[in-house]
Amino acid sequence: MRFFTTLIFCMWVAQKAMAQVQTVKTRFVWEGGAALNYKVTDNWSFNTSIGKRSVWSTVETNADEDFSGELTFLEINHFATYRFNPSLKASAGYKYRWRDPTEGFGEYEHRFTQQVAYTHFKEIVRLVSRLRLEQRIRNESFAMRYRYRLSADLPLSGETLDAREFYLVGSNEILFEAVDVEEDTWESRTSASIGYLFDPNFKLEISLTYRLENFTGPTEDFLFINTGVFINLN
Amino acid sequence: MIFKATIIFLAAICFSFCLLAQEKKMEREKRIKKEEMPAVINNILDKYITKAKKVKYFEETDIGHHSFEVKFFLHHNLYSVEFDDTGNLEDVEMKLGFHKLEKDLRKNITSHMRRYDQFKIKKTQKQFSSGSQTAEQVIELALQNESTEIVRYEIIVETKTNKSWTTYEMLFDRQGNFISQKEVIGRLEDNILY
Repeated sequence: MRFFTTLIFCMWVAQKAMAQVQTVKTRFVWEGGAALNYKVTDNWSFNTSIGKRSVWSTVETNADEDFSGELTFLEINHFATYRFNPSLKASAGYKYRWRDPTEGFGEYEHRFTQQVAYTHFKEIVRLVSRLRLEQRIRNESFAMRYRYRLSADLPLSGETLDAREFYLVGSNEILFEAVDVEEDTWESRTSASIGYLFDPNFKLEISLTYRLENFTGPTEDFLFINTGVFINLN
Repeated sequence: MIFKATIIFLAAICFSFCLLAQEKKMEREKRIKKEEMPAVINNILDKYITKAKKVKYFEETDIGHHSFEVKFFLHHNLYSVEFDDTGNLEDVEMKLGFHKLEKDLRKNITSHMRRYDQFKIKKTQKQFSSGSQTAEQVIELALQNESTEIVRYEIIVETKTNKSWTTYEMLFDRQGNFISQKEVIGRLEDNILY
């Protein structure tokens, strides 16, 4: 009797142990956000946004397969922008990111941003060059980030973007990150978006972003799906 | 569950703004196919654009105004020919560099703009329209850059007054006398700035 009890117990333990062998496959990362843009004076404007990121993965065990998302951060951003002329703008911003909010108190991240953006037109295509500096402070590290992004957007119907029309956006960004506790890294982000202007002051955008991280060393790549709501109060 | 709830929430926002947008009349330029243009316009224009490149057809709607526009490159110039919805020619526009205008004309236009602290000319178009001339006569003359009865210049200009910049579409007559202006509202940049 004791033999059988021990055998059943061992089989149960073995089954549990086998069930715990699982493979986690990240399918995509979803970043969602909503931004509010408002003019304060003719040349000053503010932009406030909230955002979140969730990582969607398939967890495969020998018994089951589960597809689920895990919230990895929540954030709030605020930018103040000064327009020198219709082409040249400078901004300063602050971001607070609450990382791993589902794990206890999570971790914090502060980001201070300074950027200049230059806009010019080639027929109906609008090109924006953005040079950005970031100071990223996390619980355990400090990083300086240098970013350059070239974006282009164009309306899909006619020469002007009118209400109830779609538009396309494409961009490529190169990012250099110097972290005090790790190796410096280079990163590339290529993005394609489609947006819809419901109203002159309201638009929705969905993007696919391919991120190639640490492309000078052992690389990692991720596919991001971004969704954004943009509201203008002026 | 979170994913489904977010999708439903976003769909609800889209739907409500769709309804909101439908209640408002707004200026809109929509690309259309040649077959969707009124036949009378194609009949007038076809013979002039056989050698044209990048021919595009548009339908424009605004409050109380509905028109059709054809844009094309011919003789290395960009032309835009606009008709009302009954097929009457409104005007022909030709894009050109501001520096290509005659010296006196440039002088008159820039003297009007000197009332601003600073200005930058972004686009210049020469407008040809008819008084008593037929649509065919106006188009023929415009395509050869010959003057029609009414010639005007449409200038897109960025102006600075008291440290504030505003973009205008200004209209001048053939001598460079100011006729009218309207403010141009540009595309919002928030989605590509941050």
